[in-house]
Amino acid sequence: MKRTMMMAAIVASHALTPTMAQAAAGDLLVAPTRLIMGANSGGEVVVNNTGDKATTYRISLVLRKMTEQGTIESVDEATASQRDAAALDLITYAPRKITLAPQQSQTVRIGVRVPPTMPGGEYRAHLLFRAVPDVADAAAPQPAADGMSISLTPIFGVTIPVIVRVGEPKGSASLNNARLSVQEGQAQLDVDLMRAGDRSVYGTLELMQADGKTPIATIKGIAAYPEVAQRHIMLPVDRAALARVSGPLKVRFVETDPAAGGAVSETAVARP
Amino acid sequence: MTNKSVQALGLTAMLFAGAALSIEPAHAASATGDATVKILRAITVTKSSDLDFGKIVPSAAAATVAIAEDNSRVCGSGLSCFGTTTAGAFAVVGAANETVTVAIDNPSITLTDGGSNSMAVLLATTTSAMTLSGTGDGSFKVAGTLNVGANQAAGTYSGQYAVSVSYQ
Amino acid sequence: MRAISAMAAIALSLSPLPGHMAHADTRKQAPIVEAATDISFGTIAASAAGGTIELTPSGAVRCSAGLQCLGGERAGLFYVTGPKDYMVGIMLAPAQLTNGRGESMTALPKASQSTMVLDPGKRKNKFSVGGKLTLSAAQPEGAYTGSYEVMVEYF
Repeated sequence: MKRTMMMAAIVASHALTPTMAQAAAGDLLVAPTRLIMGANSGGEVVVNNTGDKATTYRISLVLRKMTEQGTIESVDEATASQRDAAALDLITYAPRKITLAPQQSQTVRIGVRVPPTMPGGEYRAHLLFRAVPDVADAAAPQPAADGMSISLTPIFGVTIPVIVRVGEPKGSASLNNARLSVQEGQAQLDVDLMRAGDRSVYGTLELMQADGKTPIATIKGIAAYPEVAQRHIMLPVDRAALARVSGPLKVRFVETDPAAGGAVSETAVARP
Repeated sequence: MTNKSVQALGLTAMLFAGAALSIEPAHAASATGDATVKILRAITVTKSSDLDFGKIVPSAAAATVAIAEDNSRVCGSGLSCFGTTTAGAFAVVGAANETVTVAIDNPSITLTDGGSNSMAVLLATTTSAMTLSGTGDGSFKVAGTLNVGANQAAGTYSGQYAVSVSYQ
Repeated sequence: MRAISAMAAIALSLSPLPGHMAHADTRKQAPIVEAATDISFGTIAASAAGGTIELTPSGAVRCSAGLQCLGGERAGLFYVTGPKDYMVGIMLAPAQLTNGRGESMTALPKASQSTMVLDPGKRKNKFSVGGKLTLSAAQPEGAYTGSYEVMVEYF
């Protein structure tokens, strides 16, 4: 009897742990974080409600473009060029709206169908996952008798790129203009990622000793999309880690895109 | 668990040897089962606090209330501001050292009281790109400036804003 | 196909015992094990810290803190066919799961029971298999597969 009670207590405390105090409606998990697809193929993305309330999520396909500074901006579908908007017609996805109980997940199926007349190259759109706010549920503050109160509901979304490759577009990456600087006690590496060819490049950037193996600073998940021939990358560097190593430095970019076969490009970095 | 299975195998070997000696060989059959798992890199976005302008009593002149990313408030002249204020805050969890970009999709929004009264809000974040930490964590904040009209009607004003976190 | 591979496995396990074969008790045939369902740990969202995934033999999955189990899990299922009332032991060997790019992880399978007393007839005796999977910190993405061996023996 005593034992059963202890068990019950353990179960109860267990059930409480996954519920984070800050979790709320709309919290979401999306996996994987990018899709590379062939001309006629399928894939899937899992959406999980990590919040503590049942939430409806809307899924849409949007256009984004990269700037030379490396930021990602929205592109209005109406004003996009035919080439830039082409991916919207190649990619299908379902469902477009899902309601998930807390901790529940669902798979969104992605299909790619490319007409035979489509010129080879890389086409891209971004899948946007966004919680649909429950207006009635928005934290409604008590209206002040002689004033006003404000309720602002954030709707937050996640986008992941869906990259469609028709044929086998080639591409390559290189690094240029690497410079290390120290400003206001913060060290940072600025470098330009150069891209050539018809496909995007994607990989990991590492700062390391010229003859070393252990990176001093790392950023993963960096892309240069076909719309840019080069993009800027800023890599924050821990000064203490930098001070611990001596000798010449290099920065290298290791491509993790499956089409690149792990290609590595590197360039020397002068110490400030 | 490994130890246990090794022990179990040892025990069987002994049983097996014993059985063989008694000229009654133990028969064994084996089969192969397949095991699969799909590991995906994921991103999780969680709201950690709402953008809260606190309580405001309007005046005869138009003025603004600004909430900074550090939760501090600047109350425009003539207005009375009270209550606690917070900037909007979001937590992002993903793979270690991975980079993501952050954008406010509609930085300029209008709040309404459900009737004919409205106020404009400007939203901003200083984070446009961020690199997640070695444990895969990151966060960003949203600051806001509320435009309160002259003799703005009392009531509860509500509105929505959209932020998105993008993978490359 | 599965049944055939199980048969092949039996032939293999018998062959290293030439000396005793002549004395084999013919009434006591080797049990037949048939793999009916593969184990699937489902889809897992990995974290920077790694962790463990436990699948019970009844098919319930649990991810340690930081990992997210996203569904699609399923326990493995096996059938044993053999003579009535004999007791058999069930043993499992760990599996190495690989993703085809050289990255791997270890799965420790766990059966619903370690022994069973056989009922007569084909596919009358079943047991299920779950297991524990350990993910390293920053385990690379991918679809991992591997095989584990199940041995069923008379005592």
